[in-house]
Amino acid sequence: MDFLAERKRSMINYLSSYLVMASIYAIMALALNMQWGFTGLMNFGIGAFYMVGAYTSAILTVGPTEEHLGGFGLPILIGILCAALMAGLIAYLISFPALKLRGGPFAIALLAIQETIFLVVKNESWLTNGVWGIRGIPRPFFNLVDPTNYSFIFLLVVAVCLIGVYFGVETAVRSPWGRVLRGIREDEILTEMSGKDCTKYRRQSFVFSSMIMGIAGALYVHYTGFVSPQVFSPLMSTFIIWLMVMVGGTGNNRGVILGAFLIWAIWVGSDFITDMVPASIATRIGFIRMLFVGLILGVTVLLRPQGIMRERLFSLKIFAEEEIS
Amino acid sequence: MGEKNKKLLEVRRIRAGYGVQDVLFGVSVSVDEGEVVSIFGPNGAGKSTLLKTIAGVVRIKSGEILFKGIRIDKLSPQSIVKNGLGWVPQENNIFPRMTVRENLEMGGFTLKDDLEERMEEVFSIFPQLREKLNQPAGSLSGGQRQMLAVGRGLMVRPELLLLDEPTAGLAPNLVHMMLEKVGEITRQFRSSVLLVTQTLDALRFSRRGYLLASGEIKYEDTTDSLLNNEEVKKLYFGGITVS
Amino acid sequence: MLDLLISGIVYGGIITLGAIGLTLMSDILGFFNFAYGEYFALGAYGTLMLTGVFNSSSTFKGLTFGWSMVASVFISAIITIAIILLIDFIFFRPLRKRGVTPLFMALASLGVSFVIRAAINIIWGPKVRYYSNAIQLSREMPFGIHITNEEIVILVSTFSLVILVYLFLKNTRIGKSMRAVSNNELLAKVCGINTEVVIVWTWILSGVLAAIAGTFYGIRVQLRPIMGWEFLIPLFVAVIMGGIGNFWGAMVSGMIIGISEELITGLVQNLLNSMNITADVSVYKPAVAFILVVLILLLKPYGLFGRKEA
Repeated sequence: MDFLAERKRSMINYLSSYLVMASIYAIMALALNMQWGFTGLMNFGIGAFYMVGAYTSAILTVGPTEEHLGGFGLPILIGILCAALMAGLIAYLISFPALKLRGGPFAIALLAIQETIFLVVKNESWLTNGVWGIRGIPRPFFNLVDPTNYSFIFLLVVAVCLIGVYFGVETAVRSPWGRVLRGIREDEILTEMSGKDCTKYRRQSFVFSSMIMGIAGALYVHYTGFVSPQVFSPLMSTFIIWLMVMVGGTGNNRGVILGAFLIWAIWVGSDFITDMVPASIATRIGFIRMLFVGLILGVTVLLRPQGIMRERLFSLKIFAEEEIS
Repeated sequence: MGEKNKKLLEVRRIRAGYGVQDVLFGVSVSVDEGEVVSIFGPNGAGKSTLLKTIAGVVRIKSGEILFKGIRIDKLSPQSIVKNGLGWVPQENNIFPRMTVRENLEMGGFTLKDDLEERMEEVFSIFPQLREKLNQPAGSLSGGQRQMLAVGRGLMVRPELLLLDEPTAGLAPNLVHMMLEKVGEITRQFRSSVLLVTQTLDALRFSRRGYLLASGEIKYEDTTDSLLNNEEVKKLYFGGITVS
Repeated sequence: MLDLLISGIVYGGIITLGAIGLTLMSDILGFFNFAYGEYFALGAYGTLMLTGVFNSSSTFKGLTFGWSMVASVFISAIITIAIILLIDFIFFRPLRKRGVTPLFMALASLGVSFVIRAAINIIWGPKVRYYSNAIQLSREMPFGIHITNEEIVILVSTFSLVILVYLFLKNTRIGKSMRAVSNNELLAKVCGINTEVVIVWTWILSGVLAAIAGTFYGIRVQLRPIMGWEFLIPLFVAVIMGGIGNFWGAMVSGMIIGISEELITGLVQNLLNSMNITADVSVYKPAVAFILVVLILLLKPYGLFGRKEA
């Protein structure tokens, strides 16, 4: 009896931690959807903002320590706010050169930015404690419950944030501002001719969504209590979110949330497979998952590039060109 | 029945356009062997598009295009050129970073072994090209570029040559020269030519003409009749009289 | 300082090889292929596998490798090309036929890069590998330059390859058709050139260059599963800087980047060392390339040498 109860309990814990991570990823996906789905910015470096948000909040909220910059001990809410501001600031600064680029070069530039920020975080130990990471990051409402049940409390926190972000993004996108954005995505020249400063709008969208990514990063560290650079590999902090947006439905906010939960379920589900494979393969399981995920993207792209849920507000012309031959 | 089969090119009631926007609404033209036919009309009428549909560059949405009695409207441009149809676009009609010689070589890409011979033929029409043989095409003057563009198209000795405003942007004396060359081409190569033009001069070099406006053929007649048609003159040539 | 320059030139040569392949591919295929870095890695690891298969310890005099390396590079290039063509056939070609936008193709190629990188990790594991455990001997040259024999081989080979590629593009029928497609794809079709054939040859040419560049990198530095991903940035920067499709641009940019990365990080390192600040600046090499391209793009949006004239 006890054994079953315990099994059930660990399943529930597993489930709640899955839900927490999926929600955090969903917030990232909503932000990416704003950038790519609604503004047409192909950002391959979203992990940078996720990471900046995470570390900013970590550094600001953690207690005194000799290992790295810290000791401010600020409240979590301030940490999250500053995470958003920092991510937004960095987005704002790089937007000046970066937004002059289009398509491929823009993607590469953002990729390079992500790599650079990653290098800085990894190497500047005085700031971030390098590869050893930052421990002891405060978690909201941690003292209220038994640590094993903490996931449920945090789930509430992150659910509130997710709902908030969802409505925020939906409102923004359906607003007149959002219409201009989509106009820019579809036909920039036409929009420019009607007197709108396209770069300004794109910058606003870029900064706004980067701030959301910063919040997601902050939420992450306040959940796990610990952060290190390894967490922010291109796979886990950029590519997997692109996958979520593409599978879930580019341009559809509910779709990308669905995509986040779906992809994360597959990812976490493959954990069970780890238990079943021989040890020699188990060490490579991370990469086998990567392979698998890459193949899912490939199949999605081939069979249903627009994702599960179609965009309902506008026809998505990002996918097909018009003139043949 | 015998007469119909002699038509080299037949375009029947084609509709075509870009994306959702249609540009041609049920256009029909034809060209016989040995003819020079002009298509003229105001800007944006769809003249270039018409040539593009024949060349296989733009897909038609309805209608038929027959060349030598065979339907070509579903073929790729590569196949169409092998059937003896050449197209010289109005813009972007050369390989700018390749030499004059290489441009002509590309024109003759599908040839088996007559490359040098064909180049000589092109030089006989456009002798200026011979001097510029190893220069990058992008460094040529406007007139020379046009000559190269047409020369490129001639390399395969097409039975039908589609020329899109070959005199566009040329100085007046070059315009006249180019048009004379077109005449030479038809004589020497025995090609038919479908010429898109906005200038009156070009009309005079052709036997027949079509007036295309807003995606429809408004008039079709011999050029003499067209040039003497007051309506046509008033609407599309701004009242310029032809001597 | 001169040693840094030589080092930069060798490194620049490797970037150049890759950049030429990538610039042609980006131009003719019409999108930025993020999997290209992985072709680079595949070439390196392929050579590793084959040298293992040959298992010969004979080396050329003064070098750390022998005939087995030479044979392995060639075969590795062939295998890499085969894999590239397979990926094109299964994946990129259907997308191409469907007419998806270049942005989308780039995204798809990102996925491909993850798959290949994962496969490399699975097959060879995360540890650093070397072709040979022997130390590469450096020799003294005039002007006090130190250079290893391996680096000399790389330099000479790179130089020869660049010339070979140039001759190929300039004189062969396929080379000319590739240039034609690059200059004016529509006109090329109208001349009867089969663009699918040109695309296949583009994959082949860029695949060869990537594989050889990867092997050279492996000889000069080391092999790691992430090597392809890391190399993407200097490669793309070289392509953008030199102008997409611009052969000479890619070459010059590759050299500039290679030399800058080595020189700048080397000089900064010396500076920091002299100030007794301990820091490893070499990790920031990719950042140098990145800053360079941002600066250049701000001034000249089409790259140093621009794209095509109208």
